[in-house]
Amino acid sequence: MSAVAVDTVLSVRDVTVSVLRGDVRYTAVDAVSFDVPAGRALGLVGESGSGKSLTLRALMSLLPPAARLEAGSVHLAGDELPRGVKQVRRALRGRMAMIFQDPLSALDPVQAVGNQIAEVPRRVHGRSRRQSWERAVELLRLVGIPDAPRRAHAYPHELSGGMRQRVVIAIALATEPSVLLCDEPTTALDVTVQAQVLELLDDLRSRLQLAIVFVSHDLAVIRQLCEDVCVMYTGRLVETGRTIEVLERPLHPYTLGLLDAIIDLDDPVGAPQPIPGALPELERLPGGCTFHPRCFLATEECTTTVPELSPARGAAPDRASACIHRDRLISP
Amino acid sequence: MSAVARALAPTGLLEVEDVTVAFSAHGARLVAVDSVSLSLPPGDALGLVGESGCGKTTLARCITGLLTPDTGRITLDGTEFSRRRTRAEHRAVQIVFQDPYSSLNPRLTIRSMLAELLSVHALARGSAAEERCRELMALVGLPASALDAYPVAFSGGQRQRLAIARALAVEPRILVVDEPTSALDVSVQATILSLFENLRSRLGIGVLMISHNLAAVRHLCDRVAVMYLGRIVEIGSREEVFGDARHPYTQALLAAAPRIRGEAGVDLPHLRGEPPSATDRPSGCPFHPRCPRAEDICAVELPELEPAVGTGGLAACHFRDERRVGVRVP
Amino acid sequence: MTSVDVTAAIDAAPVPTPTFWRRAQASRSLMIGVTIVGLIVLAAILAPVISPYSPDQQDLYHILGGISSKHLLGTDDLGRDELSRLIYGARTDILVGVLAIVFPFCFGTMMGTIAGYYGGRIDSVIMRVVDVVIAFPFYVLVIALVFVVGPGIRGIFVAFAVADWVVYARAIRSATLVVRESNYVAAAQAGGLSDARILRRHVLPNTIAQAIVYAMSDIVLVIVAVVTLGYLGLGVQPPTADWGSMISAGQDYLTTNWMLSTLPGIAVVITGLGLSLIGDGLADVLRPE
Repeated sequence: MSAVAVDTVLSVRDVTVSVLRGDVRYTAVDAVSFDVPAGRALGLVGESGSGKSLTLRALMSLLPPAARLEAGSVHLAGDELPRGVKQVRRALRGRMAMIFQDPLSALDPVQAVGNQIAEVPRRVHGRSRRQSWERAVELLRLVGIPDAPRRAHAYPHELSGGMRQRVVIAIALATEPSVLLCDEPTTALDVTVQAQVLELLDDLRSRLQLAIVFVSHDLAVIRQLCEDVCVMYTGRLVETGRTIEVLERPLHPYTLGLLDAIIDLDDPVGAPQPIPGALPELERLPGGCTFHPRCFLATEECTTTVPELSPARGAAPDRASACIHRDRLISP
Repeated sequence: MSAVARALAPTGLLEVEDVTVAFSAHGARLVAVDSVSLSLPPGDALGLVGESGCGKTTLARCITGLLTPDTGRITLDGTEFSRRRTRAEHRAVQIVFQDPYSSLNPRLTIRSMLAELLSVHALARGSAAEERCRELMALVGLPASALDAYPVAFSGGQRQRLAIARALAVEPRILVVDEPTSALDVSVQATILSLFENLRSRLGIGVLMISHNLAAVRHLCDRVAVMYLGRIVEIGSREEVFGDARHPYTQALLAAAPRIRGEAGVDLPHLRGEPPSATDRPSGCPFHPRCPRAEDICAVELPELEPAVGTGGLAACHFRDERRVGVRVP
Repeated sequence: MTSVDVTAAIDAAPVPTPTFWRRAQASRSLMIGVTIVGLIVLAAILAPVISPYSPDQQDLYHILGGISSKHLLGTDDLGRDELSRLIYGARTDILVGVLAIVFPFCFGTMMGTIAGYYGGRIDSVIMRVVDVVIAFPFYVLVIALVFVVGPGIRGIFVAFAVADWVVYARAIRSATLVVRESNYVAAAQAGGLSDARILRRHVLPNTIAQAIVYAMSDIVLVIVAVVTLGYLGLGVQPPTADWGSMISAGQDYLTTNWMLSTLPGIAVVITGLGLSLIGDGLADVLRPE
């Protein structure tokens, strides 16, 4: 494993995003905060409606038209990012980049991949055409594409899914960012290709000391790549901490429920337990703790009070849970 | 077998014999399924595992009768299916698709959808049909009020259950499920898989499950077949394939699958390269360019699917008799 | 951990979908369009009741009269009341417009569905015929056909039957190609349903929306074509009132009685606007979301 870096590169505070449904605004992301130091990967895990993708897009100012950033601040290496879309885009250049789930739609089908990567050094860093092309080939090598000088002339449709995703990563790296945001980049890939891409991201993380925020619905994938994890449910953080600890000793009933519901290759062949009830709709969120209708620990208080994400007693400082009954989860 | 014995024996034995499906695209011949044979005993669950381009979906469509194989035969209890299946033959094998959002006709209410099938197959009409519809809803864990609604009213998990209800309406003997959980949330996946398990034991239906999710296959299926580039490269019981895999590709799949607890797989090198395209088949064993165990013979001679020593399973590898570094199975 | 029986894990009840009528009411385009066209159609139906005069009634003592208390919109060159002719013209044009597209709509949809669903040689044959028809400029074809069959309403119907079905065929074919690949059609096939049933209940309901929306603008097209033909003397024959021949007849008097040509022209525009709005609104409402 890489050496743990201490300085925080990305600091997110109280990001709140609302979405417009019909004529009403609903809160889709509610006061989400986290820090990511250089060279570490943070996983953002949750199911549909958890707000994990919206959170990431809010950081990059890439929210869809119906969504709006209501509150919160984002600091990159100490500098606060401005609010307006144009200003943010300029401020983000060369500091934070994002990769998405479907590489085919992220690439321009009528341009050679080399050109798409080279566009960055040419436009952003003002390099010459030749220098930009050389840089593009270099980046293709960095992301593990064999025979890079020849492959740089290929078009996206000539490449396989895994290679396209690598090209997308190369484009992201071309801006020389210190933070890489990933929105389910391996969900659409075959499992062997996914393993390669995760290995690549891990390698880049340690080599370039990238701070990575990795969004996924798959806890096992997060386990592969991310040392730290934040679990989200209906737009709120319900649990945070080091991945290994959260997975082995969860402090929130939702996390526990997820772990019981997941079928893992290493588990004994037994029945996974589904979480009772269903994910609530955005327009019909339960009051108090939004998980309470499905929670086996729920009490009267849970229906009225919205629990705060607070640090667990006697545990590491970044270990926190938003459950008032967490002590009952700590097995003796 | 005597007539009496045949009458008493459970029915629903599906056998696929030497099925090949090839397409011609732009002059090139693309073999999607290459001489595949397998059998599904009545009431059993067989998992079909592989990555994109391995032909599992094409094979599933053949078995369901949506596609006619170029060569080979598919039989049920010894009787071969017609090339263009009759209505009664269609009843026997039903399919549940991967994407719950596109598998229900948006213009029909659930009741209409089900009643149509019941009526066309002369299973129930009128009040009997209504009764049956309610039973089907109960079977998949949905309220009777769902019958009045249109698909747009339902979540992904609910739609998948509706698709299952539709498949069950005609009382099939075999259910083909194509990646039933990949489009669903994690907490819902367990529900759907439990539902399949439940139905299998209650109704005695055979299940052919296509999935790239090894954990789900291991959970649900008694037997597993691994496909690569149109061929079955390994087949055996759950214990044999997961605990004592004899084909390097199976091993690679097991190693690559991420786990929640512990390190991923074991100390196996990650597979280099990508699944090749079916139009550009490597010589000999199609897996050899990526195979960590490959030797000269592998580029020359195509290994057959044959029994391996020390296990009940079959593998299509020249070195099938070697026990690999095992992936631990509790 | 609580063990949960599968059948007990019943999700929240499905969200009720607004019915077609409620969604229709919510669409402003649709409501405005329906109001406009509705009023025009109502006027056309009630023509005998609300017209002050018969449209054929000539009054040669009061030709080319302007606005007066007896003739609200004046009279034409044969002393016929403009307002009455306008109202009866609505009757003629809308009737012809709607009826003329019935055959193209039905035939085109059928051809497009068959071509799209079965593909192969059937598709090639049908599409080649479509290509041939489309190769002719629309108006050239229509005019030629009307010329051959003879001017008048019958000629118009024949001309449109031949020339207009192809657009429907193409649009429906495209939509059918998409729907054919959907999983619910595959499920219907796997369910052993006959082709006819699949086409009728699973394919057509999901493709027809395009044809319906297009039909709205097609009615406008027909009306304009009838107007054009009328202008050329090939359309609705006198003395039947129709906006096209009114425009044509009135052009000689543009400087003195501009209303004779302009008012029917405005009527065509408003009708077209109304139908377009309906088309727009329907396109939204018919989408199954």
